[in-house]
Amino acid sequence: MNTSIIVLTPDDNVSQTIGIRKTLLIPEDLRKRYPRISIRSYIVADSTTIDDLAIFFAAQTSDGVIVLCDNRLGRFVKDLATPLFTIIFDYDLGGKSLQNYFWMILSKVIKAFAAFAPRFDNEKLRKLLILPLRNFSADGLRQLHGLFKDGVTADGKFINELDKLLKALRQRQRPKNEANYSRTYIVDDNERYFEYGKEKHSQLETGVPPHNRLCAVAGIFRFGKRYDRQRHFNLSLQGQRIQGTFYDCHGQSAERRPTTHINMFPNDFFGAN
Amino acid sequence: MSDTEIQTVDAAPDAIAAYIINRAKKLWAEKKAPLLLSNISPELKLRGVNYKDVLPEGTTLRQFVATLNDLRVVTHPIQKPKIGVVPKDSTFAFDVEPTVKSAGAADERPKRFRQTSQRYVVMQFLTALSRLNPEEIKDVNIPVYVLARLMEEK
Repeated sequence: MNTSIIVLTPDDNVSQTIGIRKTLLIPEDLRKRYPRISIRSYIVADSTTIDDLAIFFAAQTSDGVIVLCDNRLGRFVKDLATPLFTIIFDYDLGGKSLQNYFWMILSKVIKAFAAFAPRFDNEKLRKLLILPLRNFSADGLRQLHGLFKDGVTADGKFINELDKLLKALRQRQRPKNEANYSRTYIVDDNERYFEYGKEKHSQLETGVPPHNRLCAVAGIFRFGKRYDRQRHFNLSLQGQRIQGTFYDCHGQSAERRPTTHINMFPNDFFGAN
Repeated sequence: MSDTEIQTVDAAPDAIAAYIINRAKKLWAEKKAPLLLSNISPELKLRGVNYKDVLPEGTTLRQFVATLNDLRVVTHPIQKPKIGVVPKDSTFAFDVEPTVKSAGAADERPKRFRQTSQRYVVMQFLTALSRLNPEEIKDVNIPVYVLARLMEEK
């Protein structure tokens, strides 16, 4: 589990202690079980913007990224918690010493992430977890997103809830009716067929502008796990061409003229007609 | 706020603005807390005015408070409906709730208060007595009527 834990804090002392103690802040059994976990801090000043953070996170090279966000920095959660496995911690450290507090919370956070990671690593489940969130219309997916988007509640219930929702989402997989199609698709409430394609001809675009800095982060990470940025979903309908309004990676909507299918990346980016 | 002497607010935008500004400043000075928009409407109604009848049609309370120069609108980063106003020069921002608890697993579950059966307690007590040596037991005297009473089901 090659994973970076990044602690967002406005506090120099917290940052310094993390810099000195490093993985000693992780309980010993977990440190031994997951030797490739690293921990570091990022000092958030009043002037720090979400763009600064997005540039930092887009440059991460690990497979997993866990963000521990000081609860005074809640303003960043809505943007970070979809691409990254984000947990909100108590800046008051629960009235404990930093070492004790981090031992306790890191134990829960790492266990939650370690339960989640193998599900993501399984492609059958990964293709459900990386569905384009703005364009795949289904309550089940919204609920799944809800487990992450306001910060993951790191307790035993998290993984049970996730499994329940994944199981329900799997029920949405079916082939098209045409006899010559043996492929399976994940079908949303609008009867749009999403197939996680294997081809890598289309390129993810993240240039700023028109994109914002977060598009690049969401284009490589989902819920704190790295995915293949070159693969995309093919969206189509059954028996007719697909057209309509779609939402791109920075939330703008665009019309698409009728076409056989649309290439859409997990972060909702889709190319022009 | 004194409940004994509630002053009415005039049905005019200026009067509503003055009320909100004063309340927000007072709340900030006393409790370092924002005045939540959700509290303003009932407070105004208590003072005899419904802001919807006074402000131009279609103006939301949020839009109205955003026009008040002395105040700053603060929104909760996660709980979208939680919106408040604070004096412009204050540095307030809503804290969000941590999503990880530092307490151990035992502290996490609310402890259920279990009514222990009185019969069980008496049995345990007698079991404890049975462990005394014969010399000690000899000196223990419990009237049978007390034991019988303790064994009664409530």
